[in-house]
Order: sequence, then C-alpha cells, then structure tokens
Amino acid sequence: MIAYLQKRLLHSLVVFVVVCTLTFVLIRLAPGLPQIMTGDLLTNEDRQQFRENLGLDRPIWEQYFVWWGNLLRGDLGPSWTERAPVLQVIMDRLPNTLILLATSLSLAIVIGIPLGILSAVKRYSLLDYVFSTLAVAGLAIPTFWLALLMILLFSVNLGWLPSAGMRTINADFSVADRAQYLIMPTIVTATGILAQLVRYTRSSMLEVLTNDYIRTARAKGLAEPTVLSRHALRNALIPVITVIGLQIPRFIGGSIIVETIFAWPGIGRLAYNSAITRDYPLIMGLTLLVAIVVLVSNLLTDLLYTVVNPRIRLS
Amino acid sequence: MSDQVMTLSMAESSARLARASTSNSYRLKQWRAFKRNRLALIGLIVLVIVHALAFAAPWIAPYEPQKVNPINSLASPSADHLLGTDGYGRDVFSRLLHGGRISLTVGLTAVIVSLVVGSVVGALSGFFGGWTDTILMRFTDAMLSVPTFFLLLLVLTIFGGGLGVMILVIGLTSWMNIARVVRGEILRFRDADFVLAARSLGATPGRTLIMHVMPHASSAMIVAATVGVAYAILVESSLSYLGLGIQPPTATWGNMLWDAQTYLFLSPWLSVYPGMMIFITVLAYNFLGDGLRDALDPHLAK
Repeated sequence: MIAYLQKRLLHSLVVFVVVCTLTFVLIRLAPGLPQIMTGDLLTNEDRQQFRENLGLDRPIWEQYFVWWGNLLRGDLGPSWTERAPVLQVIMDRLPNTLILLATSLSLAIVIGIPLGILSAVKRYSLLDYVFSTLAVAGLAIPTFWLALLMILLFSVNLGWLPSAGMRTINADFSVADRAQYLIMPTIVTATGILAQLVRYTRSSMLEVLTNDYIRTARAKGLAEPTVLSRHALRNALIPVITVIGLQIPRFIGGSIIVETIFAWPGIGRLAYNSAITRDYPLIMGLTLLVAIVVLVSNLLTDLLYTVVNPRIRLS
Repeated sequence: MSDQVMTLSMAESSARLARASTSNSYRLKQWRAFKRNRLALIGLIVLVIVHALAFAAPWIAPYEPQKVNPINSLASPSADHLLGTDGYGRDVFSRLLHGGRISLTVGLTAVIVSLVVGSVVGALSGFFGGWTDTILMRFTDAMLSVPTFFLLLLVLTIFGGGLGVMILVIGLTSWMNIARVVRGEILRFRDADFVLAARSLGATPGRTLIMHVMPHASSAMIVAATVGVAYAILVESSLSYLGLGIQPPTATWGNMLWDAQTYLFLSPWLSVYPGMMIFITVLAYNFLGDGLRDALDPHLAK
C-alpha cells in the first residue's frame, strides 16, 4: 500500500511538473502582448518599463526558475489584471466554484444513479427506453445552448430566475436569494454528469445482474428488493465511483462555459478572463490549481476504488 | 496431371467463392444488426441530410451568408427569409447552411487528426509492449486527466481561432480514447496464430502490424471515430461560442449563437436554430456510434 502510494505520488509529481512547464513555455513563446501592455496610451518606453518591472526581459529559462523558486516559497506573484496577489484572487473565487461543484454533483448523483438502476432493472421497458434516450440527449446537448435556452425560458419569458451573478447586489444575505441564483448554473452543469451516470450505472448494474451469485440469491428465495439492494447494487456501484471521479476534469472544463454565461464569479470565469487578458501569473496559478485538483481527485478515486472493492489488491 | 491441376484450381475457386460469400453474408449480417437499431438508422439518415445540406450550401443557400442588410435586421421568418434575419440583416437560413459546412469540416477533420495520432500511439503501445507501452500509456493517462478545455482556451487565445488551428488543437487533445481502444484491440490479436504465421513467413514487425493486426482494430476505430466527431463538433461550437474559435463574419453554429445571445429579448429564435443544429447532429452521431458498436463488434457492446 505504502509502496503503491509512493509510486503514484511520484507519477503525479512528474505529470505536475510537465504540465506547469508546458504551460509556462507555451504562454511565454506566444506572439503578441498581454493586455496589460496593449493600452493605446502606452508608449514604447512604457512597454519596455513594464517588461523590465515584470521580469519579462530576462531569458525564459531564468523566468522559469524564478517562478519555481517563488512557488516553493508559496508566492504565486501578483495578478496583472485583478490588482491582488494571485493566491488571494484564486482563494476568493474558489469557494464559489466549490459550491457549484457540490450542488451539481449531488444533483447528478441523487437523480442519475436511481434512474440508472431503474433502467437496468426494468431493462427494455418503455421506462428504460425513455431514460436511456434522455441520457444520450443529455450528453449531446451543448452546455452553452442549454444555458441560453434556460435563460430564455426562466429569465426572459417567465422572469422567475436571475440570469447572471450569484446574489442580489446590496441585498442582505439570505439562503433563498442565493438559491435563486444557483438553480440554473447547477442544472446546466449537472446535466452532462447526470447523463453519464445514468449510462454507467445502467450498464454496470446489468453486468452485475448476470452473475451467478445473483441467481443463487434469487434461488434461495430472497425477495427481489433484497437481491437488488444487498447483492447487486453494492457491486454495481463500484465502477460508478470511478466515473464520478472522472467527472472532475470534465467539470472544470464545463465550469468555464457555465460561469462565463451566468457571470458566476468562480474559477471557471477567472480562467476565461486570465486567458483572454494573458495574465501570465494568474494563468500559471490556475494551471497549478487545476493540475493539483485533477491529480488529487484521480489518486483519491483510485484509493477509494480499492477500499470499496476488496477484489483489487494493490501491487 | 491435368486432373490434378483441375481439382486444384477448382478447389481454389470454390474456396474463393466461399470466402466471398462468407464475407458478403458477414457484412450483410452486420447491416441487418445495424438496421435493427432504429435510432442508429434514424441517426444515419439525419446525418446524410445534414451533410448534404452543408455540402450543397453554396448552391442552395438563397443568400450570401455574409451579405449585410441593416434595413432588414431581425426580421421574422417569411417567404423571403425562411428563418428570418439576424442583427445585421443577414439571412439566418443561409448562414445555418454555411455554418454547418465549417462546423462539420472541423468535426470530421479533427477526428482524422485524432485517428492518426491515436492509432499510432495505440498501435505502438500495444504491439511493442514493454517500455514503449508504459511510457505511451502514462502519457495518454496524463492527457486524459488534463482538463483539455482550459488548454484549448490558452492555445486559441495565443494562436487565434483559425480553421487549421482549431482542427489541429481539437484533434491533438482528443486522440486518447482512440489510442486506448486500438491498444486494447491489438493486445487481443497480437499473439494470435495468424500473426505468428505471418511472422514466421518472414514478415517484418511493421508489416505484420499494419497488414495483419491493424485491420482487426478497424471496427473499434470506426466506432471511436464516430463518437469523436460528435465530441469535436461540441468542442468547436463551445469555443466559437466563447468567441475564441472561428472568427466572425464567417458563420459557424457556435459563433452564430454568440451573436444571437445579444438579441435574446428581441429575437429569441435566433438562439434556437444553431443550437438545434448542433444538438441534432451530435445526437445523430452518438446514435450512429451506438448502432455501429452493436453491429460491428458484439465484443464491444456494453
């Protein structure tokens, strides 16, 4: 177990360094200027001044080692567009994205897994047909279009829900107010994950149901609900855990679109803004965050998988 | 002597005949299996229509897709403009047809890129095994865990969203599934008797791989590629919607939606058509992929 963990951590570290290095080199080699240097009022001397102040006049390899040196001291540098340290900018937005992750993942799990089970148990029924088709549709619908349609229906036509932001400005904090803003981003984010979960739960459950021990359980006279919940479900949900873990990188990509559309002040929108304004330190900080989140969630998924599945022994 | 020759050639031709008829009935069986999946069949028909319309856009579109007409902006659907006009008075129907050309081109060619990269990585990995396999599969896993959308965002802000850049970056960030599928298939057949036979007849590893092993991965590749087109179209439209993809005034389904959201209040329908086209096309590709999976290779069926 310890040896396995060490090996995995080492692999993760290598991937981490590679991802950071690639991003660093990629953005520095880019033609054109960061937005901070493109103002119409700036003279060429100003730009040169910027370059020197930001350390961009140094050779790339030197900048690269300076970045790592600062990182090891916990310093990610200042954001060029947000006028605050990168770490603080990220920490300000992170909770907002985590809220969205929590609500949409819970929604997807609470609805997706039962629907998948139901589909598998009632295989080839009308119900199964409807759910399975809806799941394919959920995967095929473009996130941003679903968001636009929901805004069209619930904000423009019905006027029930606000279309942008995460709270009413100048209003006192209230759960109802926050919830109102959370509904549409949550549903849009959850749709793809939910569809994925329905499909995986269904096929996993179907596979488990063909096993001999299920037949044995039925043969010894157990009631069908007992067979399903105690014998089938436990084993069927094991691969589903991996699928949930795999949704994290997908969520990060999706949050860029969803947060940009709904003006949700989180990491995804920050990522979009950092990319279009070429805020180098912020881009690097976000790359770092994303790489850590993805690697940790992959590691946790694998560990959890071995914990719940005693048939797998780590080697 | 002549009798012997006779029997030999007869045996040969009957063997050939048998082979022809089995391969025929094999394809026929696959086609029948495919036809049984009604959704897949509908998907195929929809795709034929969508592709034909997009291909024929220059000849069947009633207007030039870029032709601006400020006097007649945001017009409702009419006999003149089947789906109305957008904020610049451009004919929405014509733009949809032309936009489809771009979106489908990106989808199909990006998949070719990912097919090439994916099958090379998968084939080398599966066929040679050992260190090659470890390194390539580690790399594939790493690529799979990178949130590619953020990567795409960065690359596109740097290099701009030209058609070539789009195709290349989408292809280069979506080959991982194909690599895994190809590797799996090759592992299945690497040690088969017919491969051993080819090797002992003196075929080089490269020839064995390409002529004898790869054909067995083709079904799996077709299925993965079909689903890949759907993915590529989704990614292209998302990026174009964010304003990072193909730049206006060239129409794609994605950037038409980006334009349309400005008029959410005045002309909500503008936001519906392009999204509907993306949705229908992606859905059809997914159904087609499911159908092909069931028909081409029962082993792959989930």
